[in-house]
Amino acid sequence: MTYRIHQSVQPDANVFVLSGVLDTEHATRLQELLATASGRIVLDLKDITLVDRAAVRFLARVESAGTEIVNCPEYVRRWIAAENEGR
Amino acid sequence: MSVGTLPIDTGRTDRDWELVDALRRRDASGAERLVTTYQSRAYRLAVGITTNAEDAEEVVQDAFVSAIRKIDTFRGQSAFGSWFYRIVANAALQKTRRRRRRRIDVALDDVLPAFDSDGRHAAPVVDWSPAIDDPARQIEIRLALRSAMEELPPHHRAATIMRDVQDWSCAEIAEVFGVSVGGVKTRLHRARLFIRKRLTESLPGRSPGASGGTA
Repeated sequence: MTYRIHQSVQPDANVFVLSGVLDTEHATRLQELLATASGRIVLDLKDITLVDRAAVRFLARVESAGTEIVNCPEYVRRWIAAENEGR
Repeated sequence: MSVGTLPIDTGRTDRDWELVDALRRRDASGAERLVTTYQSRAYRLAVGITTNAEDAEEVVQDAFVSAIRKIDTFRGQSAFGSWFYRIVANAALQKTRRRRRRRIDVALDDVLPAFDSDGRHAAPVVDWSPAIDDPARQIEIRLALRSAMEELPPHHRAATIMRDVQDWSCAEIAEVFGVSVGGVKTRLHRARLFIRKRLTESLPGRSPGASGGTA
């Protein structure tokens, strides 16, 4: 399964559009990219087809740290909420 | 079709064929539809087997991921739902086995009630059933029942939860676990005997007027 990260630097934000499967390996790669970005960071999940448990933990963590998540599938939103409740 | 390739049922007779089609096409909406359709029942199945809410959450999330990754191996030989619940049940049983390594397993045969050659209980049966309607004792009953359920071997517990709590048919349970309907009925029978024995031990009841019932 493929996974793509498309980064676009906009005047007010660094936007990362993700597509495909976001799993442990890809979350690690994304984490590296986020570490190099500055300012407002937005993750757009509109083309994500699958998110595994490790990636949910990752998303919960970066969102708590201030990253915005947009176009998040409902089930991923529920899993992030459950992850936050479990902390 | 090439030699050695299994035929793929298009699945159009399966009520989930649109869902399966979306998953096979890697449609971004597929996972959402899968989760929306199956989350609730999958969770109840998983928590019934693991007896632990946190484990059940993990099991269900992993099962969704696993089902989506393996969707191309779904050949339509059973209903998609059965195929998916089998993934859930296997993941839950695996999780339970890991947990049970740290526990002392109870051999079911050692704790089932004894029967005489006529199929009657060898020991008197205590009738605790009047306690069921006593509001003051319902917490006690619930705790005794939960404890008995947790002592059951996972396959027996799963079958009991699915049949007696969630109202699955024996045929559905058989399909999920890949066993015969008779095998499911045997598990249910043994599980019910075990639960009855544990409740009898936990709940003081009336002395039996007539000793022994039939098995």
